[in-house]
Amino acid sequence: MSKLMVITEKPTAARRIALALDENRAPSEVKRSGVSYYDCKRGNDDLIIVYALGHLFELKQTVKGWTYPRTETMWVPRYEVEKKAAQTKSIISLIKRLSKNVDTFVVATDYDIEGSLIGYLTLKHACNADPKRARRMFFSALTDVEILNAFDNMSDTLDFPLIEAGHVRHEIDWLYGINLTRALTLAVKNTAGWFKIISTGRVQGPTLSFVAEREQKINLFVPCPFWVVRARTLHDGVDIELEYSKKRIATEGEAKRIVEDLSGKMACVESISSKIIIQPPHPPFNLSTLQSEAFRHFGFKPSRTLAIAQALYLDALISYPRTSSEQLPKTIDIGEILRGLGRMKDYAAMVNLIVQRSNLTPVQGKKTDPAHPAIHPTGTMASRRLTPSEKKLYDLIARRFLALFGEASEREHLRADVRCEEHLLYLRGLRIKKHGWMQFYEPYAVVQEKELPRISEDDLLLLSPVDNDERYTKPPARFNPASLLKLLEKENLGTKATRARIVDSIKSRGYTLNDKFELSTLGYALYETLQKHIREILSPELTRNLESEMDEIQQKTKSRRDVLSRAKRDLLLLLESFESQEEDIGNDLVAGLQRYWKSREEFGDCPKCGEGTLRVIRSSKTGKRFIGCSNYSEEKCDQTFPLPQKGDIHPLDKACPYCGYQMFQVISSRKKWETCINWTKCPGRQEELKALEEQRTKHEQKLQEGAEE
Amino acid sequence: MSFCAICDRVVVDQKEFCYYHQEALGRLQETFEDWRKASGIGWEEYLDKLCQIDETGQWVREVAEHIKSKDGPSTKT
Repeated sequence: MSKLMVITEKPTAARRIALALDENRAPSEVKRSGVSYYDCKRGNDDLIIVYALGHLFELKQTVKGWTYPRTETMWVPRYEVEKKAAQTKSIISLIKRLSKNVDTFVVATDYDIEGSLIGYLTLKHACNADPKRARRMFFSALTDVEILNAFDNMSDTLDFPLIEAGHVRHEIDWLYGINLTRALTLAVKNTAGWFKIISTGRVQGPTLSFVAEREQKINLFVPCPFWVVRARTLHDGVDIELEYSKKRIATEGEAKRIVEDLSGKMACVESISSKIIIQPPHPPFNLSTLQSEAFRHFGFKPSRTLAIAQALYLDALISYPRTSSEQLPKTIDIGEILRGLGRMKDYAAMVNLIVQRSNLTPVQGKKTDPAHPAIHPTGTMASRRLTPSEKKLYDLIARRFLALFGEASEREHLRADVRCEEHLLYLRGLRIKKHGWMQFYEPYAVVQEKELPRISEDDLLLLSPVDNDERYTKPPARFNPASLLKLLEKENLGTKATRARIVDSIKSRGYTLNDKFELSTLGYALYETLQKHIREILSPELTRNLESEMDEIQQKTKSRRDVLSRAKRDLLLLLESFESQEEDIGNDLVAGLQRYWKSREEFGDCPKCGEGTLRVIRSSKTGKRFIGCSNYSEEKCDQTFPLPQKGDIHPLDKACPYCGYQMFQVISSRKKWETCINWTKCPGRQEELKALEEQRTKHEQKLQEGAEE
Repeated sequence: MSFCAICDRVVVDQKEFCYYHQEALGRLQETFEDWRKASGIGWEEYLDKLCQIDETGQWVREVAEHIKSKDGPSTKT
């Protein structure tokens, strides 16, 4: 009889693993001080299944003081460095208590860098166990079959190279993030006495730089004109639009000449050609393609997609989502997954079609991942009602999986060449000849069919009217969360687990405005300052080199100690150079911050006293915000305007069309709207105000009714 | 220390504008030749057009508006 402790990463995973491992499928959940563990029986073994909450331990500096450089760290319980992580205290104490008299420790966290490190640190600091004697379960889905298989075939040793890589990643990220953020923040504090956290990091710096460079291109863009010629004709009573063979005409003169040449002339259908395009199914999803497709179809931010996919994984509905692989190895029981999906009414008909074809070899992509296969459904039925977002993502994953067994689709592109003297015009059509895999992937693979009008070669068409349209070249598009994440992946910055968070941080730090990744004045201030004084922080090169060294640790070709000491040396040089320019950096950041606050909080000159500036003020008594004159606090001017109390406020560079007062935008979690600072008195907004009053009365009535009940 | 005529950044090389607006002015002047060839318009009409078109970059638009309002040394004839 032996006592095993199985360390899992999350409470949901612990429950699943306990359920799969208990021989009676009835593990008992033991609750202690708001946390719990599971007691299981398996053969002669007693199993204790405990859970972490992601990381239970974090790095902390060994030498006190909110300053830089600080390069020595130690691992401490997370609740010591993060107020919000109070629950980790009870979990660590529980694991500590249960670890006594355990014969074997088994790590069953997610199989990736973070999971392996979580297991290692829990063993070392909570269980006081020797990690070299611990065993490791590897699985890619939380289904019973995979868990049992992982338990029966567990490794005798932990995956130390992965742990070392995780270790150094945390240490380097801490070193760069903490020291650079402090350096920037202290530069502002020492210059102006303000305490405003100005954060940057190893990957955040280059990411900011990508956004800033794109923003510069957009702001410096000078559009150029070009002309498009369009001709129409009536054939067999059908109005048809023809496109001119040259898509962009460079000069207005040439466009006019073409229009003149074609107007009212007869054109002849010279030829009709068709081209068949065969398209095989898309490869299975990895995390990046799933995030990009979920953004395209549902507008989910990459971090949201990852969180939803993680929830589906913990419910054993899909395989592990943090994967780079676009391949499904032969070891995956495709038949079992299809049988499972066949029991779901949304997919039963499609599964039938696939099984009838009897080709159960999925299409594979190129990218691989040694730890996990591509993301795929497990075929397990949901044991709870999925949220609408989970349903959407699951459907996308399930259909992408089913499409892998479909035939290639065939699209026929038709083109009629219509000639008028030396000019050539086109008529285009598109017909789907065979839907193939698209029938499974619908509605995510929609192709708009366009019939070619009924015309034959040598038909004559009267071109009338013919005109030209002046258009302008467009600036490059701003990033969206999906395209920025894709760029980070292409540049090999961050990992599949961290990229989504970095993309979010650029916005949450105030470096960009709205969802379009438009650089804010604060983003500019930081970018400009770093660009001028410490370019290396923005350089993808520095962090890319570190990434490749961390990979080498994983491949066992470099040691953690060497990589860490080099990273420390480079950082100290950087900080030395920073310190020598601290005053200049501080001045530049302060100027940028002033611009930022002005853009966020200033609403132009005071209309009453003409001397002060209108700005956002918070009442010291009530904490409520309003717009007031800058002379308000000195009681020289009493001009005020009310403000909505919820949502972000952004002054706009335009005046109200009704009253002439400055407009501003309010962005709350649910909606975005524009109004003027005079909104309560503005003659054009009385209807709005009335609707708002009615809404408020209704809300108050509801609250009152609720209280009475 | 002199400041940009459009924003409050410091000017470069004792010119009228900061680095960004100076760069925008350069591009605006360079591209005028393309516009002139394409549609034969003059400098003032060009500036008017740039101020109206949505695609015009913010710094370029600010420079165009500044030149229009000032009719200053950046004017081409």
